[in-house]
Amino acid sequence: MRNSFALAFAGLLSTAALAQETDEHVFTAGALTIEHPWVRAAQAGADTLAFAEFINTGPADTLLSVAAPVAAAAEIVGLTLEGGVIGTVAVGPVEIPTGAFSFDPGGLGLMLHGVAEALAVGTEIELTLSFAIAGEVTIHVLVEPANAMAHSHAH
Amino acid sequence: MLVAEDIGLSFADAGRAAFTVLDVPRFAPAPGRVTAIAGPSGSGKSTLLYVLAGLLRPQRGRVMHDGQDIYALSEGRRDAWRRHRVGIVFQDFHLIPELSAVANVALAATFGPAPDLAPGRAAKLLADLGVPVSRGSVELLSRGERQRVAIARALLFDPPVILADEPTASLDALAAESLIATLRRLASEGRTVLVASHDRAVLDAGDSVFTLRHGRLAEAAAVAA
Amino acid sequence: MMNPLPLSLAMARRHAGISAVFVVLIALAVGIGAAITAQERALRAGGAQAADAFDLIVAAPSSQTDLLLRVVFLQSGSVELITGEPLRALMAEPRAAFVAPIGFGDSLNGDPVVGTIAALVNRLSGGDVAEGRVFAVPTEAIVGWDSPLHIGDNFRAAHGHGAEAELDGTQHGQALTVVGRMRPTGSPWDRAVVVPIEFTWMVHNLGTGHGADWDGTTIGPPFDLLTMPGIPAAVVAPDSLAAAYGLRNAYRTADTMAFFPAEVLVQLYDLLGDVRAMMSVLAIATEVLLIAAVLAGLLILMQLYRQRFAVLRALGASRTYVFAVAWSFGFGLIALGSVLGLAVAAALSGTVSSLLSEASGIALSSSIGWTEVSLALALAAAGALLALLPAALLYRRPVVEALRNT
Repeated sequence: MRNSFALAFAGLLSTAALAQETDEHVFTAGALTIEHPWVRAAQAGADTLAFAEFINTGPADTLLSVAAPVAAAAEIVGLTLEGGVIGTVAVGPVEIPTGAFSFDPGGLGLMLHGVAEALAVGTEIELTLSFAIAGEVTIHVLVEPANAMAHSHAH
Repeated sequence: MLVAEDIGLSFADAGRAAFTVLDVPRFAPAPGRVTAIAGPSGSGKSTLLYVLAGLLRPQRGRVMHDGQDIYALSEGRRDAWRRHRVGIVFQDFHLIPELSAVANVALAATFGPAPDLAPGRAAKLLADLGVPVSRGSVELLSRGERQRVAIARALLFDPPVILADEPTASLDALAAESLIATLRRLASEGRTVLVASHDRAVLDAGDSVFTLRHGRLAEAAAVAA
Repeated sequence: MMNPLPLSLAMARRHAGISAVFVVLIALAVGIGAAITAQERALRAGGAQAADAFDLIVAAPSSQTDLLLRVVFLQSGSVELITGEPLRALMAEPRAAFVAPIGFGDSLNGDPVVGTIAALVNRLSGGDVAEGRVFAVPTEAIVGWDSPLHIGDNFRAAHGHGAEAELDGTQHGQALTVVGRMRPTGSPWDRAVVVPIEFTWMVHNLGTGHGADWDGTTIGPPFDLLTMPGIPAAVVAPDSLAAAYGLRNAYRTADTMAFFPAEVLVQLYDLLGDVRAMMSVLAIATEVLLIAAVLAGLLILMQLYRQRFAVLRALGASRTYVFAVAWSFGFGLIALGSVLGLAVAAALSGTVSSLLSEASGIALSSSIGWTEVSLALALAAAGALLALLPAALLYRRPVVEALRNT
């Protein structure tokens, strides 16, 4: 109930074309399926990271960019260890190979810089992903706890 | 000129009638003289000194100094008045034992804004009173010397009023005699010197002697004579 | 001007013993609290520094933490092997600059003997070696920066580690010669003896990793993918940043797992952070109790001084002055203790770091940073507030009443 209300609400706010939604948190665009996108809770003004799993049934595609209405800026980043310092670095477009590919806290992520309002656990935000082949797709991203390492949905 | 006018002070204990501590219509110790107040212990001698020093506000009456009602001053101004215009000497000296004689004498200069003192003023005051100046604690000095340090402390800002509460009670006869001579010299320089004491020698040295009994003051010069 | 210091210093001198006890206790409490955070930071930095050169670790699916401890920190233990088709795919990975198999299981006088390839040695050693050269034949070895061995030393490795190695008593028949020394890595590899992976395989009768026509001296890749033995782990150097994430994804399968040391460290650091937070809470609780005790002490001390303060008032000191003397004495003790606490923290965490470095082989350098300074400042600020209490009590005390108690 709560989720469907949230979705309906998000739908009302959204003017972007939504991807075809086969399940609550599964989105498709061309040969790509984006499953269980999630984002870590954050205070207003803070940076946070979003993650998702991709299933590509077509040829290799490329994630060109990410846009987040809720954030001042968004970019594709990867975890790095450089000179003894663990952090993230902008990696630019990322190839999504045929098969399964995941953005997860140990590897790649979508960095949202300066979220306009606090992201509370259980709410959702929208992200728009741009692919070389599959084009633009807007997805609903569930907010998980700030220290989460994975999506809370059991498969 | 220090004048107490119509001073009334009484303590009331629960279930008991008010106990009159002070009932003084007028008291004006004269400058240039040693005024002694006699009276048994608990007769209110110290209380009268505290009232005159601006430390204890009476329930009735006022204390005027050079035309200024000192209890009409703010507390801070009254503190500053006492610091600069009144010198107090206690029976037990009340020196700071961790400090040297010079530091004790100069202490009041650290209390707040103070007029510029001549360099070495504290040491000079001590020398004038015959106290050996050393860096050591004042506790190394004899009792007579310590009371002279206390006198020097009272004189730091050259106040016109000296209040002494039983100043000889802790001294031997020789030191007491020296102290009395000092008090007389301070009075002869134009100061108002008021001494509360039950020491015969002090009372004998007073230019005028009052007796305080049941809070009332009576000129006792005739008795002394 | 108003200057309460001569009197508050006089009080400290009079009560030098108890004042010193207060200061020392506060310094210890601050020192322990600050040492905890400084130590945690040192561990984080040391761990990350040690793992820096290990780009991507690929192994059979198991615990990433265990694998990290084996590969980077050279802890002993059993590990599943990657074999068969997944191994062949890994060794032939085109997106990797090199794929370095790792072979464990031997030791020399308690220090690990690790088999791998020259490329990883060069990577760990920062591009070139400190002394001598990298091994070039199966019976040559290069030692870590801190190894007691020297170039030219000959030795036989023992099977197993530590007590196991002593009990077993087995020594491999083949002797090795030290030909070089690596630059410091800040990891337990600094104590290790690194040998060609072929040596490890041969002494354990696992084959040579090369085909039947192998000359017996040429070492390193390419290996014979059909006959090479299974490996417990490989360090994969991607040829680009993008490839690193692609490789990590590609080897997260049913047969293999792939991870960056950083991602495991992040999780370990979360745990470390929790432990630190708990210890910090205890340290802060200690500080609070201590402050309460100091405060009680100050209150008692101030009772002793009430007559002195009354005398000061009689001599013309304002309430503010009396307040300032009492406050500056209390605050002085706490502030001095806090500052000395930083020195205690520096000494304490320096000692703990060197002990931990000795025990773990991870280079740790602790330093007092802004976190610790702000802890001490916070305590000093709390002291500034708490010292108001005894000062305020004196401030309110009637002068004449205290004067009479002579």
